[in-house]
Amino acid sequence: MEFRSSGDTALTVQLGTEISPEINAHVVALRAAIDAAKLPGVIETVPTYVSVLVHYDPLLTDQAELLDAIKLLAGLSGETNAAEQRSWLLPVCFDGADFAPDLSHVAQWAGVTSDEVVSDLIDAEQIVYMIGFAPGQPYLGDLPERLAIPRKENPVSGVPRGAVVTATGKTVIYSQQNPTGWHVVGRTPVPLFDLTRPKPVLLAAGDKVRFRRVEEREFSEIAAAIADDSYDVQREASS
Amino acid sequence: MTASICFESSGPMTTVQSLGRFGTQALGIPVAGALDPIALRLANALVGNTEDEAGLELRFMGPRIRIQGEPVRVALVGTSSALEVLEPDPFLVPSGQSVTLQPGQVFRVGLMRDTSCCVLAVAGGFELPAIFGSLSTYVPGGFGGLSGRLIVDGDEIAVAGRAKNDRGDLRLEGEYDSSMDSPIRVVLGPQDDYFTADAVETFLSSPYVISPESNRMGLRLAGVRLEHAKGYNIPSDGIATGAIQVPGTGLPIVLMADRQTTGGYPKIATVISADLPRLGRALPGQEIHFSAVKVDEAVAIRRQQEAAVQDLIKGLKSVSIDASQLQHLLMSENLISGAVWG
Repeated sequence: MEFRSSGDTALTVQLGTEISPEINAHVVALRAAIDAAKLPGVIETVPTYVSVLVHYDPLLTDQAELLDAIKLLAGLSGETNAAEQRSWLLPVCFDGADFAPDLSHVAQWAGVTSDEVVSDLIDAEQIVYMIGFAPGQPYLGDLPERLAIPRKENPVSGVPRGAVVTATGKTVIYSQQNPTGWHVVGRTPVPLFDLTRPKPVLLAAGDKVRFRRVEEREFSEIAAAIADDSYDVQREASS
Repeated sequence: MTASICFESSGPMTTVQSLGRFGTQALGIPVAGALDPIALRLANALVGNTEDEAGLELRFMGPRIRIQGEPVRVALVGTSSALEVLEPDPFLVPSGQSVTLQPGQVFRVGLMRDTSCCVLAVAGGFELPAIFGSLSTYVPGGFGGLSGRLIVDGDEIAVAGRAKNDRGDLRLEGEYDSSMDSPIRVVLGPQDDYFTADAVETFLSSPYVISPESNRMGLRLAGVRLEHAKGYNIPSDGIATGAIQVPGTGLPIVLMADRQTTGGYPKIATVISADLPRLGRALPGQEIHFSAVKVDEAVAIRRQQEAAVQDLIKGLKSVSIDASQLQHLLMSENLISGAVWG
Protein backbone atom coordinates (compact mmCIF):
# COMPACT_ATOMS: atom_id res chain seq x y z
CA MET A 1 0.00 0.00 0.00
CA GLU A 2 1.37 3.38 -1.04
CA PHE A 3 0.11 6.84 -0.11
CA ARG A 4 0.38 9.77 -2.50
CA SER A 5 -0.68 13.35 -1.79
CA SER A 6 -3.28 14.78 -4.12
CA GLY A 7 -2.83 18.28 -2.73
CA ASP A 8 -4.25 19.18 0.67
CA THR A 9 -7.80 17.94 -0.03
CA ALA A 10 -7.27 14.38 -1.21
CA LEU A 11 -5.12 11.35 -0.52
CA THR A 12 -4.42 8.63 -3.08
CA VAL A 13 -4.18 5.18 -1.51
CA GLN A 14 -2.58 2.91 -4.10
CA LEU A 15 -2.85 -0.86 -3.70
CA GLY A 16 -0.86 -1.99 -6.74
CA THR A 17 0.67 -0.87 -10.00
CA GLU A 18 -0.75 -3.38 -12.49
CA ILE A 19 -4.46 -3.51 -13.27
CA SER A 20 -6.04 -6.84 -12.37
CA PRO A 21 -9.43 -8.02 -11.13
CA GLU A 22 -7.78 -9.11 -7.84
CA ILE A 23 -6.23 -5.71 -7.04
CA ASN A 24 -9.46 -4.04 -8.09
CA ALA A 25 -11.38 -6.24 -5.61
CA HIS A 26 -9.01 -5.08 -2.84
CA VAL A 27 -9.68 -1.48 -3.88
CA VAL A 28 -13.44 -2.00 -3.65
CA ALA A 29 -13.04 -3.68 -0.22
CA LEU A 30 -10.82 -0.94 1.21
CA ARG A 31 -13.12 1.74 -0.12
CA ALA A 32 -16.10 0.04 1.54
CA ALA A 33 -14.17 -0.12 4.83
CA ILE A 34 -13.22 3.58 4.66
CA ASP A 35 -16.81 4.57 3.87
CA ALA A 36 -18.16 2.41 6.70
CA ALA A 37 -15.71 3.96 9.20
CA LYS A 38 -17.18 7.44 8.55
CA LEU A 39 -13.85 9.08 9.37
CA PRO A 40 -14.19 12.69 10.51
CA GLY A 41 -13.47 15.13 7.68
CA VAL A 42 -13.73 12.55 4.89
CA ILE A 43 -16.04 13.96 2.22
CA GLU A 44 -16.20 11.01 -0.15
CA THR A 45 -14.11 8.23 -1.67
CA VAL A 46 -13.52 7.29 -5.30
CA PRO A 47 -12.43 3.73 -6.10
CA THR A 48 -10.49 3.24 -9.35
CA TYR A 49 -8.40 0.46 -10.96
CA VAL A 50 -5.66 0.17 -8.35
CA SER A 51 -6.33 2.97 -5.86
CA VAL A 52 -8.85 4.75 -3.69
CA LEU A 53 -8.91 8.54 -3.68
CA VAL A 54 -10.04 9.88 -0.32
CA HIS A 55 -11.41 13.43 -0.61
CA TYR A 56 -11.22 15.28 2.71
CA ASP A 57 -11.81 18.67 4.27
CA PRO A 58 -8.45 20.09 5.44
CA LEU A 59 -10.28 22.24 7.99
CA LEU A 60 -11.47 19.09 9.76
CA THR A 61 -8.69 16.54 9.33
CA ASP A 62 -5.25 16.19 7.80
CA GLN A 63 -3.14 13.70 5.94
CA ALA A 64 -1.30 12.28 8.96
CA GLU A 65 -4.57 11.52 10.76
CA LEU A 66 -6.01 9.84 7.64
CA LEU A 67 -2.87 7.78 7.04
CA ASP A 68 -3.10 6.24 10.50
CA ALA A 69 -6.80 5.48 10.15
CA ILE A 70 -6.51 3.99 6.66
CA LYS A 71 -3.54 1.79 7.60
CA LEU A 72 -5.62 0.39 10.41
CA LEU A 73 -8.65 -0.16 8.17
CA ALA A 74 -6.54 -1.84 5.47
CA GLY A 75 -5.43 -4.41 8.03
CA LEU A 76 -9.04 -5.18 8.86
CA SER A 77 -10.75 -5.15 5.46
CA GLY A 78 -11.06 -8.48 3.70
CA GLU A 79 -12.77 -9.30 0.46
CA THR A 80 -16.26 -7.85 0.41
CA ASN A 81 -19.09 -10.07 -0.67
CA ALA A 82 -19.57 -9.36 -4.31
CA ALA A 83 -22.78 -7.43 -4.70
CA GLU A 84 -25.28 -8.51 -7.32
CA GLN A 85 -23.14 -9.26 -10.36
CA ARG A 86 -24.97 -8.51 -13.56
CA SER A 87 -24.20 -9.37 -17.17
CA TRP A 88 -24.98 -7.00 -19.99
CA LEU A 89 -25.07 -7.35 -23.75
CA LEU A 90 -24.80 -3.86 -25.22
CA PRO A 91 -25.54 -3.10 -28.89
CA VAL A 92 -22.61 -1.33 -30.60
CA CYS A 93 -22.22 -0.11 -34.17
CA PHE A 94 -18.65 -0.41 -35.47
CA ASP A 95 -19.32 0.85 -39.02
CA GLY A 96 -17.91 3.85 -40.84
CA ALA A 97 -16.02 7.01 -40.04
CA ASP A 98 -18.90 8.50 -38.08
CA PHE A 99 -19.31 5.62 -35.60
CA ALA A 100 -15.74 4.29 -35.56
CA PRO A 101 -13.32 6.98 -36.80
CA ASP A 102 -10.23 5.39 -35.23
CA LEU A 103 -11.01 1.72 -35.94
CA SER A 104 -8.66 1.45 -38.92
CA HIS A 105 -5.89 3.24 -37.01
CA VAL A 106 -6.19 0.74 -34.15
CA ALA A 107 -6.17 -2.13 -36.67
CA GLN A 108 -3.09 -0.72 -38.36
CA TRP A 109 -1.32 -0.28 -35.02
CA ALA A 110 -2.19 -3.87 -34.03
CA GLY A 111 -1.24 -5.22 -37.46
CA VAL A 112 -4.67 -6.80 -38.05
CA THR A 113 -7.78 -5.97 -40.08
CA SER A 114 -10.59 -3.77 -38.80
CA ASP A 115 -12.91 -6.80 -38.76
CA GLU A 116 -10.46 -8.66 -36.55
CA VAL A 117 -10.46 -5.74 -34.10
CA VAL A 118 -14.27 -5.86 -34.04
CA SER A 119 -14.15 -9.63 -33.46
CA ASP A 120 -11.85 -9.12 -30.50
CA LEU A 121 -14.18 -6.46 -29.14
CA ILE A 122 -17.33 -8.60 -29.35
CA ASP A 123 -15.66 -11.83 -28.20
CA ALA A 124 -14.28 -10.32 -25.01
CA GLU A 125 -16.29 -10.60 -21.81
CA GLN A 126 -15.15 -7.49 -19.97
CA ILE A 127 -15.67 -6.51 -16.35
CA VAL A 128 -16.50 -3.03 -15.14
CA TYR A 129 -13.40 -2.00 -13.17
CA MET A 130 -14.65 1.43 -12.20
CA ILE A 131 -17.04 4.26 -12.97
CA GLY A 132 -15.33 7.55 -13.62
CA PHE A 133 -14.36 10.60 -15.66
CA ALA A 134 -17.97 11.53 -16.42
CA PRO A 135 -21.41 10.57 -15.04
CA GLY A 136 -21.94 6.81 -15.14
CA GLN A 137 -19.01 6.23 -17.47
CA PRO A 138 -17.64 2.66 -17.18
CA TYR A 139 -14.04 1.52 -17.57
CA LEU A 140 -14.05 -2.02 -18.93
CA GLY A 141 -11.33 -4.61 -19.36
CA ASP A 142 -9.56 -6.53 -20.49
CA LEU A 143 -9.14 -6.78 -24.25
CA PRO A 144 -6.61 -9.12 -25.87
CA GLU A 145 -3.01 -7.96 -25.50
CA ARG A 146 -2.70 -7.09 -29.20
CA LEU A 147 -5.23 -4.27 -28.82
CA ALA A 148 -3.30 -2.52 -26.03
CA ILE A 149 -2.69 0.68 -27.99
CA PRO A 150 -1.45 3.69 -25.96
CA ARG A 151 -3.60 6.77 -25.49
CA LYS A 152 -3.34 9.60 -28.00
CA GLU A 153 -0.70 12.21 -27.25
CA ASN A 154 -3.23 15.00 -27.04
CA PRO A 155 -6.92 14.66 -26.24
CA VAL A 156 -9.36 15.50 -29.05
CA SER A 157 -12.64 17.21 -28.26
CA GLY A 158 -16.24 16.52 -29.15
CA VAL A 159 -16.42 12.73 -28.85
CA PRO A 160 -20.15 11.93 -28.75
CA ARG A 161 -22.15 10.25 -26.04
CA GLY A 162 -22.21 6.48 -26.55
CA ALA A 163 -18.76 6.38 -28.14
CA VAL A 164 -16.90 3.13 -27.43
CA VAL A 165 -13.25 4.04 -27.05
CA THR A 166 -10.18 1.97 -26.33
CA ALA A 167 -6.61 2.38 -25.08
CA THR A 168 -4.11 0.27 -23.12
CA GLY A 169 -6.33 -2.83 -23.50
CA LYS A 170 -9.26 -1.18 -21.74
CA THR A 171 -12.58 0.06 -23.08
CA VAL A 172 -14.64 3.06 -22.05
CA ILE A 173 -18.15 3.93 -23.16
CA TYR A 174 -18.76 7.69 -23.16
CA SER A 175 -21.79 8.72 -21.16
CA GLN A 176 -21.70 12.30 -22.46
CA GLN A 177 -19.89 14.30 -25.10
CA ASN A 178 -16.36 14.96 -23.89
CA PRO A 179 -12.77 15.25 -25.03
CA THR A 180 -10.87 11.97 -25.17
CA GLY A 181 -7.32 10.73 -25.47
CA TRP A 182 -8.65 7.27 -26.39
CA HIS A 183 -9.37 5.75 -29.80
CA VAL A 184 -13.00 5.75 -30.96
CA VAL A 185 -13.92 2.30 -32.33
CA GLY A 186 -17.73 2.20 -32.10
CA ARG A 187 -20.86 3.66 -30.57
CA THR A 188 -23.79 2.33 -28.53
CA PRO A 189 -27.26 3.91 -28.63
CA VAL A 190 -27.86 2.88 -24.99
CA PRO A 191 -27.42 5.79 -22.57
CA LEU A 192 -25.20 4.82 -19.65
CA PHE A 193 -26.40 7.85 -17.70
CA ASP A 194 -29.98 9.00 -17.83
CA LEU A 195 -31.50 11.22 -15.15
CA THR A 196 -35.02 10.14 -16.11
CA ARG A 197 -34.30 6.60 -14.85
CA PRO A 198 -34.82 5.80 -11.16
CA LYS A 199 -31.15 4.74 -11.10
CA PRO A 200 -29.48 7.14 -13.54
CA VAL A 201 -26.20 5.16 -13.68
CA LEU A 202 -26.66 1.92 -15.67
CA LEU A 203 -23.52 -0.08 -14.86
CA ALA A 204 -21.68 -0.76 -11.60
CA ALA A 205 -18.16 -1.89 -10.77
CA GLY A 206 -18.04 -5.69 -10.97
CA ASP A 207 -20.67 -6.01 -13.75
CA LYS A 208 -19.79 -8.08 -16.83
CA VAL A 209 -20.28 -6.56 -20.28
CA ARG A 210 -20.23 -7.93 -23.80
CA PHE A 211 -20.87 -6.07 -27.04
CA ARG A 212 -23.32 -7.12 -29.74
CA ARG A 213 -22.55 -5.84 -33.24
CA VAL A 214 -25.42 -3.90 -34.81
CA GLU A 215 -25.69 -2.24 -38.22
CA GLU A 216 -26.41 1.46 -38.50
CA ARG A 217 -30.09 0.70 -39.17
CA GLU A 218 -30.58 -1.21 -35.90
CA PHE A 219 -28.58 1.45 -34.06
CA SER A 220 -31.08 4.05 -35.32
CA GLU A 221 -34.07 1.85 -34.40
CA ILE A 222 -32.80 1.39 -30.85
CA ALA A 223 -31.98 5.10 -30.57
CA ALA A 224 -35.51 5.97 -31.75
CA ALA A 225 -37.06 3.49 -29.29
CA ILE A 226 -35.01 5.05 -26.48
CA ALA A 227 -36.10 8.53 -27.57
CA ASP A 228 -39.83 7.65 -27.36
CA ASP A 229 -39.27 5.67 -24.17
CA SER A 230 -40.29 2.29 -25.63
CA TYR A 231 -36.88 0.66 -25.15
CA ASP A 232 -36.29 -1.22 -21.94
CA VAL A 233 -32.58 -1.09 -21.36
CA GLN A 234 -32.90 -3.88 -18.82
CA ARG A 235 -33.81 -6.28 -21.62
CA GLU A 236 -30.14 -6.47 -22.44
CA ALA A 237 -29.43 -7.79 -18.95
CA SER A 238 -29.03 -11.51 -18.56
CA SER A 239 -28.31 -13.27 -15.34
CA MET B 1 -46.91 37.10 -6.51
CA THR B 2 -43.50 35.59 -5.99
CA ALA B 3 -40.23 37.25 -6.78
CA SER B 4 -38.27 36.30 -9.84
CA ILE B 5 -35.33 37.55 -11.85
CA CYS B 6 -35.66 37.85 -15.60
CA PHE B 7 -32.58 37.83 -17.82
CA GLU B 8 -33.09 40.57 -20.41
CA SER B 9 -29.64 39.60 -21.56
CA SER B 10 -27.83 36.59 -20.17
CA GLY B 11 -24.14 37.37 -20.49
CA PRO B 12 -21.97 34.84 -22.33
CA MET B 13 -21.40 32.24 -19.60
CA THR B 14 -23.78 32.74 -16.71
CA THR B 15 -24.61 29.64 -14.67
CA VAL B 16 -26.18 28.75 -11.34
CA GLN B 17 -23.45 27.45 -9.02
CA SER B 18 -23.27 26.42 -5.38
CA LEU B 19 -20.18 25.19 -3.54
CA GLY B 20 -20.41 21.95 -5.54
CA ARG B 21 -21.95 18.52 -5.69
CA PHE B 22 -20.35 16.12 -3.24
CA GLY B 23 -20.87 12.45 -2.49
CA THR B 24 -21.43 11.16 -6.02
CA GLN B 25 -17.95 11.30 -7.56
CA ALA B 26 -17.78 7.49 -7.34
CA LEU B 27 -20.66 7.45 -9.86
CA GLY B 28 -18.57 9.65 -12.14
CA ILE B 29 -20.54 12.79 -11.23
CA PRO B 30 -18.17 15.81 -11.23
CA VAL B 31 -18.26 18.30 -8.36
CA ALA B 32 -18.80 21.46 -10.48
CA GLY B 33 -19.62 24.49 -8.27
CA ALA B 34 -18.30 28.06 -8.23
CA LEU B 35 -14.78 28.66 -9.57
CA ASP B 36 -14.35 31.22 -6.79
CA PRO B 37 -16.08 29.65 -3.77
CA ILE B 38 -14.92 32.46 -1.46
CA ALA B 39 -16.76 35.02 -3.60
CA LEU B 40 -19.90 32.87 -3.39
CA ARG B 41 -19.67 32.52 0.39
CA LEU B 42 -19.14 36.25 0.90
CA ALA B 43 -21.95 37.18 -1.51
CA ASN B 44 -24.28 34.77 0.28
CA ALA B 45 -23.33 36.26 3.64
CA LEU B 46 -24.11 39.75 2.31
CA VAL B 47 -27.67 38.80 1.32
CA GLY B 48 -28.36 36.71 4.43
CA ASN B 49 -28.15 33.28 2.76
CA THR B 50 -26.42 30.21 4.14
CA GLU B 51 -22.89 30.05 2.76
CA ASP B 52 -23.61 27.12 0.44
CA GLU B 53 -26.69 28.59 -1.22
CA ALA B 54 -26.49 28.65 -5.01
CA GLY B 55 -25.85 31.97 -6.73
CA LEU B 56 -25.07 33.10 -10.24
CA GLU B 57 -21.54 32.71 -11.53
CA LEU B 58 -20.84 35.41 -14.11
CA ARG B 59 -17.92 34.95 -16.48
CA PHE B 60 -16.22 37.68 -18.53
CA MET B 61 -19.41 39.77 -18.84
CA GLY B 62 -22.46 39.83 -16.63
CA PRO B 63 -26.18 39.71 -17.41
CA ARG B 64 -28.87 42.39 -17.53
CA ILE B 65 -31.59 41.44 -15.08
CA ARG B 66 -35.12 42.75 -14.37
CA ILE B 67 -36.60 42.24 -10.91
CA GLN B 68 -40.19 40.99 -10.98
CA GLY B 69 -42.99 40.40 -8.48
CA GLU B 70 -41.42 41.27 -5.13
CA PRO B 71 -38.33 43.14 -3.90
CA VAL B 72 -35.11 41.11 -4.25
CA ARG B 73 -31.84 41.59 -2.40
CA VAL B 74 -28.69 40.88 -4.42
CA ALA B 75 -24.93 41.24 -3.90
CA LEU B 76 -22.02 41.13 -6.31
CA VAL B 77 -18.63 39.85 -5.09
CA GLY B 78 -15.35 39.05 -6.79
CA THR B 79 -14.82 41.90 -9.24
CA SER B 80 -14.00 45.59 -9.10
CA SER B 81 -16.84 46.19 -11.56
CA ALA B 82 -19.96 47.67 -10.00
CA LEU B 83 -23.52 46.49 -10.13
CA GLU B 84 -25.17 49.10 -12.37
CA VAL B 85 -28.83 49.82 -11.74
CA LEU B 86 -30.16 51.11 -15.08
CA GLU B 87 -33.92 51.55 -14.73
CA PRO B 88 -35.90 53.44 -13.74
CA ASP B 89 -33.23 55.65 -12.11
CA PRO B 90 -29.62 54.76 -12.75
CA PHE B 91 -27.15 54.40 -9.90
CA LEU B 92 -24.14 52.24 -9.06
CA VAL B 93 -23.75 49.74 -6.24
CA PRO B 94 -20.14 48.80 -5.63
CA SER B 95 -19.14 45.16 -5.53
CA GLY B 96 -19.02 43.79 -1.98
CA GLN B 97 -22.30 45.42 -0.96
CA SER B 98 -25.87 44.15 -1.00
CA VAL B 99 -28.75 46.15 -2.42
CA THR B 100 -32.49 45.56 -2.26
CA LEU B 101 -34.14 46.18 -5.60
CA GLN B 102 -37.81 46.75 -6.33
CA PRO B 103 -39.95 45.06 -8.99
CA GLY B 104 -39.35 46.79 -12.30
CA GLN B 105 -35.80 47.81 -11.49
CA VAL B 106 -33.24 46.64 -14.01
CA PHE B 107 -29.53 46.19 -13.40
CA ARG B 108 -26.56 44.81 -15.17
CA VAL B 109 -22.99 43.74 -14.54
CA GLY B 110 -20.79 44.81 -17.42
CA LEU B 111 -17.48 43.61 -18.72
CA MET B 112 -15.07 42.41 -16.02
CA ARG B 113 -11.49 43.42 -16.51
CA ASP B 114 -9.93 42.13 -13.30
CA THR B 115 -11.24 38.56 -13.27
CA SER B 116 -12.74 35.86 -15.46
CA CYS B 117 -15.55 35.24 -12.99
CA CYS B 118 -17.50 36.73 -10.11
CA VAL B 119 -20.64 35.86 -8.20
CA LEU B 120 -24.05 37.45 -7.85
CA ALA B 121 -25.95 36.13 -4.83
CA VAL B 122 -29.73 36.44 -4.56
CA ALA B 123 -31.35 36.44 -1.12
CA GLY B 124 -33.41 33.29 -0.62
CA GLY B 125 -31.74 31.31 -3.40
CA PHE B 126 -33.44 29.93 -6.50
CA GLU B 127 -36.54 27.82 -6.92
CA LEU B 128 -34.78 25.09 -8.92
CA PRO B 129 -34.58 21.31 -8.53
CA ALA B 130 -31.54 19.87 -6.76
CA ILE B 131 -29.81 17.14 -8.76
CA PHE B 132 -27.91 14.69 -6.53
CA GLY B 133 -28.45 17.18 -3.73
CA SER B 134 -27.00 20.25 -5.45
CA LEU B 135 -28.06 23.18 -7.64
CA SER B 136 -24.62 23.50 -9.28
CA THR B 137 -24.82 23.52 -13.06
CA TYR B 138 -22.72 20.92 -14.85
CA VAL B 139 -23.09 21.98 -18.49
CA PRO B 140 -21.21 19.04 -20.12
CA GLY B 141 -23.63 16.62 -18.42
CA GLY B 142 -26.66 18.82 -18.99
CA PHE B 143 -27.89 18.83 -15.40
CA GLY B 144 -28.10 21.10 -12.39
CA GLY B 145 -28.94 24.81 -12.23
CA LEU B 146 -31.44 25.96 -14.85
CA SER B 147 -32.02 22.92 -17.11
CA GLY B 148 -28.34 21.97 -16.95
CA ARG B 149 -27.26 24.75 -19.26
CA LEU B 150 -25.92 28.28 -19.53
CA ILE B 151 -28.50 30.99 -18.85
CA VAL B 152 -29.85 32.44 -22.12
CA ASP B 153 -31.69 35.67 -22.97
CA GLY B 154 -35.27 35.61 -21.75
CA ASP B 155 -34.73 33.04 -18.98
CA GLU B 156 -36.56 33.65 -15.73
CA ILE B 157 -35.76 32.09 -12.36
CA ALA B 158 -38.12 32.20 -9.38
CA VAL B 159 -36.52 33.33 -6.14
CA ALA B 160 -36.95 30.94 -3.20
CA GLY B 161 -37.42 31.87 0.43
CA ARG B 162 -34.42 30.19 2.01
CA ALA B 163 -32.62 33.28 3.35
CA LYS B 164 -31.64 32.61 6.97
CA ASN B 165 -31.54 36.18 8.25
CA ASP B 166 -32.44 39.73 7.36
CA ARG B 167 -30.04 42.30 8.74
CA GLY B 168 -30.73 44.89 6.06
CA ASP B 169 -28.22 45.70 3.38
CA LEU B 170 -24.61 44.98 4.26
CA ARG B 171 -21.17 45.68 2.92
CA LEU B 172 -17.81 43.95 3.15
CA GLU B 173 -15.08 45.70 5.11
CA GLY B 174 -11.79 44.94 3.42
CA GLU B 175 -11.04 42.52 0.63
CA TYR B 176 -9.95 38.94 0.40
CA ASP B 177 -6.62 38.27 -1.21
CA SER B 178 -7.23 37.34 -4.81
CA SER B 179 -4.18 38.81 -6.51
CA MET B 180 -2.22 36.84 -9.07
CA ASP B 181 1.06 38.56 -8.23
CA SER B 182 2.45 35.76 -6.08
CA PRO B 183 3.07 32.22 -7.39
CA ILE B 184 0.31 29.61 -7.38
CA ARG B 185 1.34 27.12 -4.69
CA VAL B 186 1.25 23.39 -5.35
CA VAL B 187 1.93 20.16 -3.52
CA LEU B 188 3.99 17.88 -5.78
CA GLY B 189 2.32 14.64 -6.82
CA PRO B 190 0.43 12.37 -6.85
CA GLN B 191 2.61 11.29 -9.83
CA ASP B 192 5.63 13.62 -9.84
CA ASP B 193 7.74 10.45 -10.08
CA TYR B 194 6.42 10.06 -13.66
CA PHE B 195 8.51 13.09 -14.67
CA THR B 196 12.23 13.69 -15.00
CA ALA B 197 13.87 15.74 -12.24
CA ASP B 198 14.50 18.41 -14.89
CA ALA B 199 10.81 18.49 -15.75
CA VAL B 200 9.80 19.08 -12.11
CA GLU B 201 12.46 21.82 -11.85
CA THR B 202 11.26 23.37 -15.12
CA PHE B 203 7.64 23.26 -13.99
CA LEU B 204 8.49 25.14 -10.79
CA SER B 205 10.73 27.73 -12.43
CA SER B 206 9.09 28.57 -15.77
CA PRO B 207 6.25 30.95 -16.55
CA TYR B 208 3.05 29.44 -17.96
CA VAL B 209 0.35 31.33 -19.80
CA ILE B 210 -3.33 30.46 -19.49
CA SER B 211 -4.55 29.45 -22.94
CA PRO B 212 -7.81 30.76 -24.41
CA GLU B 213 -8.90 27.10 -24.82
CA SER B 214 -9.39 26.95 -21.06
CA ASN B 215 -12.81 26.46 -19.53
CA ARG B 216 -14.49 25.51 -16.25
CA MET B 217 -13.16 21.97 -16.65
CA GLY B 218 -9.51 22.90 -16.96
CA LEU B 219 -6.95 25.60 -17.59
CA ARG B 220 -4.70 24.64 -20.48
CA LEU B 221 -1.27 26.16 -20.03
CA ALA B 222 1.20 27.27 -22.70
CA GLY B 223 4.90 27.27 -21.89
CA VAL B 224 7.84 24.92 -21.62
CA ARG B 225 6.94 21.28 -22.34
CA LEU B 226 7.52 18.82 -19.50
CA GLU B 227 9.29 15.54 -20.13
CA HIS B 228 7.75 12.32 -18.85
CA ALA B 229 10.13 9.78 -17.32
CA LYS B 230 7.76 6.79 -17.45
CA GLY B 231 5.37 7.59 -20.29
CA TYR B 232 2.09 9.41 -20.03
CA ASN B 233 -0.28 6.54 -19.25
CA ILE B 234 -1.16 5.63 -15.67
CA PRO B 235 -3.98 3.37 -14.50
CA SER B 236 -6.78 5.97 -14.32
CA ASP B 237 -7.14 7.19 -10.78
CA GLY B 238 -9.20 9.69 -8.82
CA ILE B 239 -8.63 13.41 -9.39
CA ALA B 240 -8.64 16.24 -6.87
CA THR B 241 -9.65 19.75 -7.94
CA GLY B 242 -6.43 21.59 -8.78
CA ALA B 243 -4.63 18.48 -10.05
CA ILE B 244 -2.19 19.35 -12.83
CA GLN B 245 -2.22 16.61 -15.43
CA VAL B 246 0.37 16.46 -18.18
CA PRO B 247 -0.71 14.61 -21.33
CA GLY B 248 1.67 13.48 -24.04
CA THR B 249 2.14 17.00 -25.39
CA GLY B 250 4.03 17.86 -22.18
CA LEU B 251 1.82 20.91 -21.63
CA PRO B 252 0.12 21.00 -18.23
CA ILE B 253 -3.65 21.26 -17.71
CA VAL B 254 -4.93 22.43 -14.30
CA LEU B 255 -8.20 20.65 -13.56
CA MET B 256 -10.84 23.01 -12.18
CA ALA B 257 -14.46 22.94 -10.95
CA ASP B 258 -16.01 20.91 -13.81
CA ARG B 259 -13.08 18.49 -13.85
CA GLN B 260 -13.58 14.81 -14.51
CA THR B 261 -13.68 12.51 -11.44
CA THR B 262 -10.87 10.24 -12.69
CA GLY B 263 -8.18 10.37 -15.36
CA GLY B 264 -5.26 8.53 -16.87
CA TYR B 265 -2.60 11.17 -17.43
CA PRO B 266 0.07 11.55 -14.73
CA LYS B 267 -0.42 14.51 -12.41
CA ILE B 268 2.81 16.32 -11.64
CA ALA B 269 1.36 18.44 -8.82
CA THR B 270 -1.87 19.67 -7.26
CA VAL B 271 -2.74 23.32 -6.62
CA ILE B 272 -3.35 23.89 -2.90
CA SER B 273 -6.97 24.50 -1.97
CA ALA B 274 -6.28 28.04 -0.70
CA ASP B 275 -5.04 29.09 -4.15
CA LEU B 276 -7.87 27.55 -6.18
CA PRO B 277 -10.24 30.54 -5.87
CA ARG B 278 -7.69 33.02 -7.27
CA LEU B 279 -6.66 30.58 -9.99
CA GLY B 280 -10.36 30.18 -10.84
CA ARG B 281 -10.46 33.92 -11.44
CA ALA B 282 -7.45 33.94 -13.78
CA LEU B 283 -7.93 35.37 -17.26
CA PRO B 284 -6.81 33.79 -20.54
CA GLY B 285 -3.43 35.25 -21.47
CA GLN B 286 -2.45 35.72 -17.84
CA GLU B 287 1.02 34.48 -16.90
CA ILE B 288 1.37 32.32 -13.80
CA HIS B 289 4.23 30.79 -11.84
CA PHE B 290 4.14 27.76 -9.58
CA SER B 291 5.95 27.15 -6.30
CA ALA B 292 5.98 23.98 -4.20
CA VAL B 293 4.90 23.65 -0.58
CA LYS B 294 4.55 20.61 1.67
CA VAL B 295 1.07 19.30 2.33
CA ASP B 296 1.21 20.41 5.99
CA GLU B 297 2.03 23.96 4.90
CA ALA B 298 -0.87 23.81 2.44
CA VAL B 299 -3.25 22.87 5.25
CA ALA B 300 -1.89 25.67 7.46
CA ILE B 301 -2.31 28.21 4.64
CA ARG B 302 -5.87 27.03 4.04
CA ARG B 303 -6.76 27.29 7.73
CA GLN B 304 -5.32 30.79 7.85
CA GLN B 305 -7.32 31.77 4.77
CA GLU B 306 -10.47 30.30 6.30
CA ALA B 307 -9.97 32.39 9.45
CA ALA B 308 -9.64 35.49 7.26
CA VAL B 309 -12.86 34.64 5.40
CA GLN B 310 -14.66 34.11 8.73
CA ASP B 311 -13.37 37.50 9.90
CA LEU B 312 -14.73 39.15 6.77
CA ILE B 313 -18.12 37.52 7.30
CA LYS B 314 -18.20 38.52 10.98
CA GLY B 315 -17.13 42.04 10.05
CA LEU B 316 -19.96 42.78 7.61
CA LYS B 317 -21.24 46.33 8.23
CA SER B 318 -24.67 47.79 7.73
CA VAL B 319 -24.96 50.12 4.78
CA SER B 320 -25.40 53.19 6.93
CA ILE B 321 -26.30 56.00 4.58
CA ASP B 322 -29.85 55.91 3.30
CA ALA B 323 -30.61 54.82 -0.21
CA SER B 324 -31.29 58.24 -1.71
CA GLN B 325 -28.02 59.62 -0.35
CA LEU B 326 -26.21 56.59 -1.71
CA GLN B 327 -27.85 57.01 -5.05
CA HIS B 328 -26.90 60.65 -5.21
CA LEU B 329 -23.35 59.94 -4.11
CA LEU B 330 -22.90 57.19 -6.63
CA MET B 331 -24.43 59.18 -9.43
CA SER B 332 -22.04 62.02 -8.85
CA GLU B 333 -19.21 59.52 -8.80
CA ASN B 334 -20.55 58.17 -12.04
CA LEU B 335 -20.38 61.62 -13.66
CA ILE B 336 -16.68 61.66 -12.93
CA SER B 337 -15.87 58.07 -13.86
CA GLY B 338 -18.72 57.43 -16.30
CA ALA B 339 -16.41 56.29 -19.07
CA VAL B 340 -15.46 53.30 -17.01
CA TRP B 341 -18.86 51.72 -17.29
CA GLY B 342 -20.89 53.78 -19.75
